[in-house]
Amino acid sequence: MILRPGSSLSVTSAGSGWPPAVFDPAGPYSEPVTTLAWALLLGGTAVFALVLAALGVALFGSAALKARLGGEKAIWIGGFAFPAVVLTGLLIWGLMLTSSLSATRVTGAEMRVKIIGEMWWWRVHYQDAEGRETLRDANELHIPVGKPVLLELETADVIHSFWVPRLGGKMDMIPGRTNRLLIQADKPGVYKGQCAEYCGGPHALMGFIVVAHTAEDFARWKASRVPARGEQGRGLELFLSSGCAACHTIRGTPATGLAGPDLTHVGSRQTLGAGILPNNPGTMAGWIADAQAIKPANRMPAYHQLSAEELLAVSEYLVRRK
Amino acid sequence: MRSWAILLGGLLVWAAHFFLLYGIGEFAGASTAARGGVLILSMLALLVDFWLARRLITLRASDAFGRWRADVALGGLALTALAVLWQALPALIG
Amino acid sequence: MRSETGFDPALYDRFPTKGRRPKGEEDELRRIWCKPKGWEYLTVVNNNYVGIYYLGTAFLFFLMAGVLALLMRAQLAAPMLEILPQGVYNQVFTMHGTVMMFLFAVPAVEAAGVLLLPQMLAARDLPFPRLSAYAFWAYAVGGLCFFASIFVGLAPDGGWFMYPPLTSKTYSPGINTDFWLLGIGFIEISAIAGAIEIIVGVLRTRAPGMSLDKMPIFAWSMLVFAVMIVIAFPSIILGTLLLEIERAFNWPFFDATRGGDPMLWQHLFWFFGHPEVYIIFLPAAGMMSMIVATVAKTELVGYRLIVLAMLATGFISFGVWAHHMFTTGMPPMTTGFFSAASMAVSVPAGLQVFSWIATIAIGKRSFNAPGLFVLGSIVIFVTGGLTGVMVAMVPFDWQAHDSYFIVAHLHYVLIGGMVFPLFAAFYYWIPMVSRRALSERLAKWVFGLMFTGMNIAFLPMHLAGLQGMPRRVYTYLPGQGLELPNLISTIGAFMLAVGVSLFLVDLARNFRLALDEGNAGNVYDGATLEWLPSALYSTRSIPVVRSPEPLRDDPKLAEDVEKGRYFLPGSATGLRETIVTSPLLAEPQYLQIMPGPSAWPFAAAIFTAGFFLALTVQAYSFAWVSAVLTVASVLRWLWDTDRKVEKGEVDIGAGIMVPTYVTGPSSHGWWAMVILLVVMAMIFIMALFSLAFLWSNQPSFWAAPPLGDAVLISLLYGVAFAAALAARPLLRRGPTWPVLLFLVSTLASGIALWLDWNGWNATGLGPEASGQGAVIYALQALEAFALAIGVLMAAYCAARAGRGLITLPRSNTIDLTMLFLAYCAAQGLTGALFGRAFGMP
Repeated sequence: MILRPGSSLSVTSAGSGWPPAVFDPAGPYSEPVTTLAWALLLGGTAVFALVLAALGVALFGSAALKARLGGEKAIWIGGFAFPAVVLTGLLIWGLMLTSSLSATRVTGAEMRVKIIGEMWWWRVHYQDAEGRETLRDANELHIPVGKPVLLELETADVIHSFWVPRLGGKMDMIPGRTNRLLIQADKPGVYKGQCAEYCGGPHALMGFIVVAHTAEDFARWKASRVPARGEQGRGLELFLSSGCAACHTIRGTPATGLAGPDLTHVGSRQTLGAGILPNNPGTMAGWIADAQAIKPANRMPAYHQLSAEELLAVSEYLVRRK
Repeated sequence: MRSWAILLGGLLVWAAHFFLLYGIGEFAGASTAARGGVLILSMLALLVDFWLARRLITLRASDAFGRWRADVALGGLALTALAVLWQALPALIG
Repeated sequence: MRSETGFDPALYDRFPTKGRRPKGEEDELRRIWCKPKGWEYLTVVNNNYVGIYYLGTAFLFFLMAGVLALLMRAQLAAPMLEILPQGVYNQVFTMHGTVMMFLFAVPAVEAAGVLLLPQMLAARDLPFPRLSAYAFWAYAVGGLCFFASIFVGLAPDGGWFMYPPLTSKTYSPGINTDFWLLGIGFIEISAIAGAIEIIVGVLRTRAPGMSLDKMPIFAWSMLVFAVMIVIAFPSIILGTLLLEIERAFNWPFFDATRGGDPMLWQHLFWFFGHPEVYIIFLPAAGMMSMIVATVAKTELVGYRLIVLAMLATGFISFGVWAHHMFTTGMPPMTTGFFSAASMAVSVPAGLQVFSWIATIAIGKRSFNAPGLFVLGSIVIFVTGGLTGVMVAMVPFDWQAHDSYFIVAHLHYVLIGGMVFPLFAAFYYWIPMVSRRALSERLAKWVFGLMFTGMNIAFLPMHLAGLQGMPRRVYTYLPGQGLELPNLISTIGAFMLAVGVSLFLVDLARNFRLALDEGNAGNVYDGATLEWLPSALYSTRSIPVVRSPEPLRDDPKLAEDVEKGRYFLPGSATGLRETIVTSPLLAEPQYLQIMPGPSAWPFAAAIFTAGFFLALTVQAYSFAWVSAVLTVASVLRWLWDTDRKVEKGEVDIGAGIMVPTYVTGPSSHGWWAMVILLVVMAMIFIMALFSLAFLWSNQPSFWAAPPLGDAVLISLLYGVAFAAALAARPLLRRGPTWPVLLFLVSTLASGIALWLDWNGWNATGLGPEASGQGAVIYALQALEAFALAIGVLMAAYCAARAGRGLITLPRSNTIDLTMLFLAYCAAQGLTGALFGRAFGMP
C-alpha cells in the first residue's frame, strides 16, 4: 500500500474548511480579529460597490450626474475626504486591537510552552510558571480550555511561522529571537495549524495540531505523561538496533537521540509526520518503511531493510507509547 | 532646487517625520519618552506643514507654472498632514 | 518664474516659421538616422529599436513566467497531485515570482519608457542611447541564461524573497541560490542604467516650452518611477551582495549565531520590495491616465492631482516596507507606524482612480480595446487596493499574512495595476510602431477571457487563504475544504492563458513592425506628441509646446512639424543631435551631440552577463577575463564621446543660437553622474543602516572600535576630496594639472582606506568573526570598489590627456571624474567615522 498523506484522516475532523478557519474563531485571541475581518470584508465590498456605481454613472449616468462626478471636487471627495474618514476609524480600531492582542501584555497566569520550529516539524516543550521545562513532546500541543497559553516561539534552523488560525494569528520563528504569541481555546476540540513561512522542501507538509481539553481532561492527560519503565521486547530491541535511537528519544529507555521528535508518547499523538497522517500501526509502519515517499525530503530516512515482520514489531511498540 | 523644494515640501516633511519615527521605534523602543518624542516630532511636522501652506497661500505666484506648482504643493501638504496625523496615533494607542 | 535660464519665452513666437525649408534637409536627417541593415540590428542604439527589443523580451518573460504559473495551477488543481515534484515546484514558484517581478514587470515599463518617451517629448532619442542598448542587452542575455537554469534543475528555490537562513550556504548548499543572487545582480544594474537614462531624458530633453505642468502624465510617471528605482534598488543590490558574500566567504551578515541577523535581510529586501510594487504600478498608471483621456476624447480631469498622487506615492511607498514583517514580532508601536503609512499610500491611489472615473464621466463612452482594458484595470485594481487596506490592518494581517489571501491580493494589484494597463497600452500604442492596428473584434475576446479568467483564478484564493491555506505550498492535504477553490482557480488560470494566447494570435496576424514610416498612426486620436508624424529621427522638427495636449489645441501642429517649421528642422551639425532643455520650463539650453550605433555597448553587455554567469558556476578565471573585457568595452565605447564639434554655436531654428558643447552642472553628463552617485550613496547608506541595525539587535557580539587613527584618516580623505575638487578650476592651466590632482586624490583615499583597514585589523576583529566585523569590512570593500573605479577613471583621463583629447578650458571627462573622486573621498570618510562611532566606549 502506498500511503498518501491526508487520506481519511482523523485530523480532518480538525476542520472541514467550512466555515473558513479565520471566520470560525474559537478563542479570545482570534474572535476580535474575526469581527474585524467581517467589518473589513463587508466594508470593502461596500466601497467596491460604490466605486463600481461611480464608474457606472460615469459611463451611463445622466448628464447632470456625470457633470457632478467629472471634476476635481469629486476626486477630492472620493479620493481624499472619504478615505481619510474611513481609514482614520479603521486605523484606530486596528491599533487598539494590535495592542490588546499582542503578547506584550502578559499577566503571569498563562500556561507556558516553548515551541521550536524544525525543518519540517515542531518541538513542544511544556514549561511551568517559572519557565522550567516539564515535558517534551512534538507536533501536538495540549492545552486546557479557557486559559491563555503563552507560546515562546523559536527555531532550530530556518524561519518558520506558527499559525493555528482558529486560535489566533500567526507568529514567525526567527533565528536568534524568541517571539511570543498568546492563544486560547474556549471549546474542547482539535485545532489544525500549519507552518506559514516558506521553509524549503516539504514546507507544505509541516502541519501541527492543538488539542484543547476541559480542565479535568487536561489534568488527566497531564498525569498520564509518565514514561513506561523497564519495558522489554522485540520492538524496543529493533528500535535500538536499527539506528532509530540515534535521532529519537524514548524516555525510560537507552534511546536518547535528539535530532528527531521525542517518541516517549508517540502512540498518543493523533497524527504522524507532523500533522499529515493519522496515527495507527499501519501508518506507523508505512512511515518507518518509507517516510521519503510520503513526505519527500524530510530528514527521516527510509527503512527498506526492515522486514514486514520487523516493521510491524517496531510500529506496534511505538503505537503503544501512549 | 527651490522649485523642487516648493513642489515636494509636504512630502519631504513626511519623509523626515517617518524616518525619524522609524528610528525611534527601531533604536529607542516604545518607552514613554519615545512616545513623547513621536508626539513632539508629529507636532513639529504639522507646524512646518502649516507654515509652508501659509507661505504658499500668501505668496501667491504670478505666473502659470508658479500657480500650478503651488497647487500641487498644497495638495501634498494636505495629504501628508493626514499621513503625519495617522503616524502619530501609534504613540497614543498601542 | 518668467524664465529659468534667461531664455526669452517671446522667442517661441517665431514659430511656426514661415517660408519653405531648403531641399534635402529631410533627406539628410533620414541619412543620419538611417535604418540598420543585417548585423547592424545588434549594434543599433536608437530608442525605437532598443525599445521594441526591450518590450518584446519583457513580454517573452511574461509568457514564460505565465507558463510556470500554469504548471503550478495544474499541480494545485487537486490535493496531493504529483505533476510537479516538490523540489521542482519550489523552483517553479521561485522563478515565477522572480521572473515576473525582475524580468517582466520592471523591464516592461522601462522598455515602454525607452520606446515612448522620446516620441512623447519630441526628442530625437534618449540622452544616452548607448546606455539604453547596454541596459537592454545585459538584461536580455543575462535574463535568458538565468531563466534557462530551470531547465537543468539549477533554478533558485528559496522564494523570490530569498530569506536567509534558508538561502544560506548551510540550508541551500547548491548554486541555485547563487543563480538568483548573481542573476538578479546584473538585472539590477540594467534597471539602474535605464533609470538614469529616463531621469535625464525626462528632465532635460523635453520639447521647448513643455514645462513640468504641460508634461504628458506618462513622462511624469516615468520620472517618479526612475527616481524610485534609484532610491529603492540600491537596497536589494546591497542585500544580494551581502548574501552572496556570506555564502562565498562566510561573512555572517545574516547569521544570528554569529552576531548577524536574518531580520536585516528582510529590511533590506522589503525596503526595495515594497516600493517595487509602486515602481511597477506608477508607469502603468501613467499609461492609464493617457489612454483614459484619449479614449474618452477629452482632457484628463485632475492632471495636477494625478501628478500629486504620483509624487506622494513615490514618497510614501518608502514608508511601508515593514508591513511585510507584521508577524516577525516587531513591537506594536513600530507596526503601527507602518500600518499608518500603508493606509496613507492608498490615498493617492484613490485620487488616481477617481480622476480616471471623472475623466470617463466628462468624456464620451467608448468600449474600444484600450477602453475595455482600462475599465477592467480599474475594477481589478480597486479590488486589490481594498484587500490591501485590509492587510494593512495589523491584526487582520496576522491571519492573512503568508496565506493565499495575500496571493490573491497581490495578483489583483499587479494584474489590475500593471498587466491590464500594459495590454491597454499595447492596443493603444501598437499603431505607432506597426503597419496595422490590432483587431478590435478579437480584442473583445481577449479582454473577456482575461478579465473573467483572472477573476475566476484569483477570487477563490481569498477564500482558500482564510480557510488556512499557506502560500508557497507544493500541495495540500485533502479534507480541508480546499479542493473546490483550488480547482476553480486552476480553471480560471487556464482561461486567462487562453485570453493571452488569443492576443498572441492577434499579434501574429496584425503586428507588422513599421518604425520608420508607414505605421497605422493615430487611430485613437491621441493629443500628445508621440502621435505627430515621425520616423527614426522622431519628428521632423521639434515643436514648441504650449499646452498639455498640443495636438488637440493646435490642429495645424502636425503639418507645421512635418514641414519643418519648428526647432531643429534639419541637422545643425550633420551628426545625431537633440535639444537639451532646462528641467522646469524646458527652455532650450544647448544642442547635444548623440552617439550613433556601436558594437561596444553590445560587447560590454555580453561580457557583463558572462562575468556574472561565470561567477555563478564558479568559473573564476573566465569571470575575471569577462570583467576585464567588460571594462575595456565600456572604455572603448566612451573613447569616441565627449569631443567638441567644429561649430561651437549653431542655429536650432528661427535664428536661435545655442552652444554644442556644455560642461558643468547644466550638462546632461553631470546630471547622470550625480544620479549615479546617488545610487552609490544609497548602497552605502543601506550598508551603514546594516551596521546600526546589527548594533541595536546584536549588542552582545559588539567589539570596541579602533579610535586612534580617526584623525589621520579624516585628514587624508579631506586631502583627497580637496584635490579632486581642485581639478576642475585648474584645468585652465592644462590637462596635466587635473591628472596630477586625480593621482593625489586616489592616492590619499587609498592610503586612508588602508589605514582604516589596518586599524580594524589590529583590533583582531575579522570579517568572519561577527556581524559587526562583516559589515565593517563590507563598508571598506564598497569603498575599495568605488576607488578602483576612480583609479580607472583617473587613468582614462590621463590616457585622453596624452592623446590631446581633453577639451579646454572645461571638459566633461574631467568634471565627471572630479565628481566621482570627490564622492569616493566623502564616502570613505563617512564609512570610517560611522564604523568607529558605533560601539565607542
